Amino acid sequence: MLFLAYLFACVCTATAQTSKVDGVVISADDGQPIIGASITVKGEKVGAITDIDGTFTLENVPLGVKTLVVSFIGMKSKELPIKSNMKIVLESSQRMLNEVVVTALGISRDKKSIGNAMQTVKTDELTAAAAPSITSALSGKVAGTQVNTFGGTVGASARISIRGNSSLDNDQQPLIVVDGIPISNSVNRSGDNTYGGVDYGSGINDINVEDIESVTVLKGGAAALYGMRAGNGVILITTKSGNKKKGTTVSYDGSLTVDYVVNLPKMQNLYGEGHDGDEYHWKQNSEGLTYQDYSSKYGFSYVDGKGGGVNDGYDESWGPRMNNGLKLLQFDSNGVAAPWVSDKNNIMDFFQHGITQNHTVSVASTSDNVQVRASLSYRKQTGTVPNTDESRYGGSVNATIKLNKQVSMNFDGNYTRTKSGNLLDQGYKDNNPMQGLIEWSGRQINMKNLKKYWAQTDAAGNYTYYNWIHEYHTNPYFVMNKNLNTYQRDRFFGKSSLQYNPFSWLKVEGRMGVDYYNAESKECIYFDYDYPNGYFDQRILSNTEFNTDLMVTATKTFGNLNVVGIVGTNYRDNLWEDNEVECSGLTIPGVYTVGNATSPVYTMDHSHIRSNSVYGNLSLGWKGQLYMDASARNDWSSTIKKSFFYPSVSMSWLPLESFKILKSKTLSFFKLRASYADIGSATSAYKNQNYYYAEKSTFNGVTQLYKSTTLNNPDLKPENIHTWEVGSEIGLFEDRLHFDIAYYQKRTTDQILNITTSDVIGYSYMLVNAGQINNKGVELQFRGDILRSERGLNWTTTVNFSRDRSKVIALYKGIDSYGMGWTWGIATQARVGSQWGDLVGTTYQRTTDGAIKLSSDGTPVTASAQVMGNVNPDYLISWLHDFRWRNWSGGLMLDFRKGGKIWSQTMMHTYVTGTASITAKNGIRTKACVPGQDISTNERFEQYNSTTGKWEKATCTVDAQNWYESLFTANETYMFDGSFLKLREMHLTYDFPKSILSKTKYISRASISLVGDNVALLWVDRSNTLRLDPECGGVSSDSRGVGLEQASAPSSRSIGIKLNLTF
Amino acid sequence: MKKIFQYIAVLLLIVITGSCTDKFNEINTDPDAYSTAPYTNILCYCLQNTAMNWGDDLSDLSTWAGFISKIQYPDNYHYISTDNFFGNKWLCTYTTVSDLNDIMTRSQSDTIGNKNMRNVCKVWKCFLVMMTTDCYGDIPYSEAWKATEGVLKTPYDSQKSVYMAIDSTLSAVADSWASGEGTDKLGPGDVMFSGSIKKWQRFCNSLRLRLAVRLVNVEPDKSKATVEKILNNSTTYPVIDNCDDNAYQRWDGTSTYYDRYYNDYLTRDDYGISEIFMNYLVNQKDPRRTVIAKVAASDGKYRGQYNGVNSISGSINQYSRMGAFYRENPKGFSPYYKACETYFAEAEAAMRGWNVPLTAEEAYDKGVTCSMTDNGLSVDSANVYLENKGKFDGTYSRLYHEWWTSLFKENIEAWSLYRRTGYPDEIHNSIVTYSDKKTVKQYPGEYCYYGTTHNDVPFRFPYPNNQELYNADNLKKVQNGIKDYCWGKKMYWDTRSDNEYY
Repeated sequence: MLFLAYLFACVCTATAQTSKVDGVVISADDGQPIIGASITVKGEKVGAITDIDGTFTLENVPLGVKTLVVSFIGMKSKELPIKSNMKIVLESSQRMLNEVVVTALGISRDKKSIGNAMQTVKTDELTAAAAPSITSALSGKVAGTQVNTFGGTVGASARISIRGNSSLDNDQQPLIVVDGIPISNSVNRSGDNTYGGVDYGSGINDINVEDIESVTVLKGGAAALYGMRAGNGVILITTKSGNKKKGTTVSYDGSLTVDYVVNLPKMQNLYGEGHDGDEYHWKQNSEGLTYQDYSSKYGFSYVDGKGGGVNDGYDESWGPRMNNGLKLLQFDSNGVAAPWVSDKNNIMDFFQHGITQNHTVSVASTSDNVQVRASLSYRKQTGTVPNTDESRYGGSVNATIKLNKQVSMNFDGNYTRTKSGNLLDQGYKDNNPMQGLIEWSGRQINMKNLKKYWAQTDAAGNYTYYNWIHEYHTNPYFVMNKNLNTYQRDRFFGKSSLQYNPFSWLKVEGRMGVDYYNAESKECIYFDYDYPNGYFDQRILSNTEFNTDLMVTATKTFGNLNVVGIVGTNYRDNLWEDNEVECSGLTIPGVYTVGNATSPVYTMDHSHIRSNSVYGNLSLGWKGQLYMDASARNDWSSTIKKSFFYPSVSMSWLPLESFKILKSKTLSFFKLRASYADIGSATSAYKNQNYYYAEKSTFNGVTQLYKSTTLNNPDLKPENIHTWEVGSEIGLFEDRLHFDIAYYQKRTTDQILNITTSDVIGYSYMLVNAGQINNKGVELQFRGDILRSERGLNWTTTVNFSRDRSKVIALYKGIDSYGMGWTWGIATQARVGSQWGDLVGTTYQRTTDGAIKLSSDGTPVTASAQVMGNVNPDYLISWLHDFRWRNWSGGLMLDFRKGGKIWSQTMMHTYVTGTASITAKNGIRTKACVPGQDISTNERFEQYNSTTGKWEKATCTVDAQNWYESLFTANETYMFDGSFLKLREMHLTYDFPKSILSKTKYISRASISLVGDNVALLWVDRSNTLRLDPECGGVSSDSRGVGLEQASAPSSRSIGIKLNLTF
Repeated sequence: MKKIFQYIAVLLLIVITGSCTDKFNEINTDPDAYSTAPYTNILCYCLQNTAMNWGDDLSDLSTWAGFISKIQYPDNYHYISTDNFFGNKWLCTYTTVSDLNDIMTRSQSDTIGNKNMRNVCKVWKCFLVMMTTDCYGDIPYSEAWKATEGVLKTPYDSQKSVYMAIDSTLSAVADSWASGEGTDKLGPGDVMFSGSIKKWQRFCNSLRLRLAVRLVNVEPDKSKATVEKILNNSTTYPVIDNCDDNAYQRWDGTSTYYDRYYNDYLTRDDYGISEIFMNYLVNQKDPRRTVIAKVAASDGKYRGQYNGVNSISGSINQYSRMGAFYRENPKGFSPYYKACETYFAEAEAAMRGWNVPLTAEEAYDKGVTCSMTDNGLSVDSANVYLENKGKFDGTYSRLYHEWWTSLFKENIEAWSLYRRTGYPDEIHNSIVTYSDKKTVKQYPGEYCYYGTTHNDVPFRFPYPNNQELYNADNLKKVQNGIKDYCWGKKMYWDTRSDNEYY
């Protein structure tokens, strides 16, 4: 049939006369002319390209031919009847199935030909809600990708995990590749990853979101071309480059948002500081005293804040009842008994509104031979914690120049400076104000006075360290104003590439890229109760990763077969250096020099890794319906003695193209895909021989050396991941409903395990290749264009669903558990037969029917080293909505997570210190309480009856204070279900119409938006009694921090405006 | 076209082979680590690491020894395994001995040329292992430190066999040095005795003496023989009998290596003098009270705190803290063996009728005088004390109370003394009556998680979590009889009655 038509057309051409057709092609989006659109006469070899004004002229159009085909990249093609003086309006085609995606090594491919699951997030989706960083912009937008931002502090780092957790390495984040060049995403965090430290943010956030064109997540085998580094998936970032159209534009993108602290832990406001001060204790020990007299004699009375008064060195809220007419000596009552009243907003009072402003000015220009974009950006964030901030200055250039028909070059450079005057110290330490504000605190403390007098000095000019207590905790304002953690990171990453096309089918590309950063942090303590004589730690980290690739690409068509072959080599060299000086004991307070320290401790650490690789990829496409890809890579790494080979194969089939009869308006698109790959995850440097190490300091002037406590392994191998997946894409009703479903399995073997040994064997750890973790999971993306109307309301909804299940099949002979994170006696472990990430700690001993056993004196019976739960969510769902109505557009995103247990240090301490609201509920401090009936009513408690020989409902009574103190060691108490429903993003945008803008002459595009990020925590599980944001983190940003919450700063809601202008 | 492929092939080859992999070994050698290490620097680490962990024994041990009571946060511990404390000491022993073994292995080829260093390693290993078994009882020993031989799950040795092994090792070292010092120098790493082999020899024999006396109730013949052999051959087997030779680990006073008590003092104020100790010192008019304790800030009196109260009421200023000599010196010391211990051991031997050079009273007097000297007090004040309440009366009670007092800051030894002898009996007998008329035994105290199930301080440390997690099968075999982590099964040399002490 087609053939006949062709024949007919040919005949026509041969015999007919011709005419001239002209017209203009404009964009429906902005009414601007489209440059470079292609106009062809249907069935003829006549065609033209629109010029700079969007106009075209077709000479020699045969008479009798009726149809023009107009097409342009990114627009829906149109077929129109030929007229004279045509005005052709093209609509952009977001839903175009011939979508081009960027895959491994920066290769552009038709999406339909890809046999792996991959998902792309475009610039608009990233920037719509003015998310403060790329990691938060990506949250919830890619199925199977969990982005967990740690806490509500300025510049917080984030952990990205793709397709669940399958490795036992601390760091199992995906490889980040920007415009073909891998860059470091290491988290620069100080501290021990166990109890505390300062979070200096994730490396990936050095990229300005406004500079990003798209982010593609390669989830499984799609990453195979990265071989030894592909094991945890790859995130490909493509930056913006020039314009699609010829000409020069200048754009400004700006936003201003205000951050409000939300999700403060729920505190009680009935009892103040002290011990044994409640009505129950008064009645027990009253000695006939009035409550007033009892309270001042035994409950609380301030003298010196360090035990000199009555319980005035107690940083707990088990004191007398507030708002009850009592008058007691207090830290701010100047030696006179003052009304003992609650200050329920005292925690909130400490926080302030944070302000974030973001400005990006960019210039983009495209001409025949040059495509260039340059941008300058500035971002400044002040935190909700007083005196914390982060500024980022960025500059980027991306230029492609066609030197002649065969040679072109590309240069791509990004410079970023990230700078903070002060960042919050996190975890369990005096220098983290959360500790003394929330966890160990008096609920009567007047924050305003602490703010007013923090800088108070005595006659000699020395700080008095004015505070509500004079041990353990320093005034939080003093901490934030005098104990500063400053930071500056300078970073450059970019590449230069040359392309040579000797023939139209052959391309040779040489690429050289570098990622360099230098980061300097200085953590200073003028005074706190951990370092009364002052402290500072200065650290300079630098990292250089150098990559060179040489790639040859051949593209040929043999009949119906399209062949693309690529061979390439990669040379990689990575140098990392850490120089640190740590000083405690400063002679003159507040002078942070080495000379001022009694015993500075210097540390140097280096790492050098080099690898060489060869790789190849063969893509076959047959008749636009069947595609096959095969890739191979061989890696030689300095860290490993052997070389390793990584193959992959994938297929994509479009049955509707093979059997066109099946294609209908209902079933408009159908794709089946499958892939298999072997990928790896390499080790860090220096792991294959044993060394002696030196202690940081000398002892009595003598260097101390010790044998490695880890038994290293000379035959170390990279972690090996075998993965396969099958998937399908289905488009219904002209693709108004689109489903993408994937099922995958991963088998991760040869895990590099730093096995904790029975420590009596002479080593505390052994490095072995062992173990196996299997993962399987489902990812589902659904998109529905619920309403579609050119002039009316458009509504698109998108759902991302993912579920991953891991199972630890084996570890190492004789070892059935492997520790990852640890804090406060809680371990996160991999246990054979269970999922990755069991929380292990002390639990209650329970009767067979689940009641907690109480001993004869009414304290719970516990058992140590028991599994308390698992940190992995059952599933994740994000639900996005996009609305468009004329010039208005808007969107919102709901994020839902089911399950994933969290052990909370905040919960542990607020319970034991009596500041949590649960510790004063239902009058439990006024009476003797029966466990399960009056107190801890969410549980049942039983005691052993020796006469009946049975466990029976507990009848003993306890007092609230003793009760919560006795629960202290039962870690299980402080674990909650991390499920949540969040309104993560919201935005409403107004695009100024062309009719208005054309009057300004200068502005071609303008829009203004109302934006919100982390808008509301709508629901949490009941077990989350403090109502903490389940995404608040611990003190480690890698695997060690997952599932552990540690005195985290409350998260905040950002609301603001965003402005976009294009000139 | 063929030419181009040839070019490409050549180019690829150059890239791969040119930047080839033969530099990989060099690249993958850690520039910040050492491929070998001088013995003396390893020894220094071993001594420091020992002091860091075993010299940092305030928490729990000081209260079990009867010296200290918590004046704040008495509820922090409930005698439940907390790995920070119990686990670190265990770990310290096993890693430190592993480093000592490394010296032993590497010096094997020249045992004569490394005689002193090898002997020091053996002595230190014995010292560590003895403290460890005195805390935990049965421990892995004969099959421990054998990872490279594939022993990853280590069986436990009975405490008795560990004791016998230590004894024979120490005896062998003593005989080896008795036949003459080696030629090798210990180097600057001997931060314990500054390279004096003589002092090491004394320390070795003193440990033998300590060990023998410890076994007096279970191996009386062996005990008698060893004590007589050492004390009657002071030239062959010299012991620490002079305060200047005390085995004190001095701290270097830099912030990393502050004296452990000072380090705690810098940021915490949780420890006061216990009531029983304070009352005893005051009652004795013991001049050492002024060095050991401070007067209460509230009224200038010496006042101890009850042990084991669940919560503290009133001002903490009413309680005495440790004296500055013991707690407020960044360059303070961790005591391992004091000369007075030798004399108290000799006094006990004499009281048992063994053949030793001094009479019980002579030895007792010398011990007390040494202890006064240790506290910076004069011989005169010692004499005054010995003529009054400190006078020897021929009772074990008098001897053991003095021994106890002299062991201040040497908590493990004091705790062991109590477990062996039942003295100071105040630990067992003292009670406290609270305002609600409730009467509780001061030890283990009201805050004991196990209520009144136990009437004594712990007999032992809980085994560390590490063993529960990674060596459970072997651990289970020795856990029989242990109750509530800390009670039940006693040390093998602890012969106190199960009915009276539980």
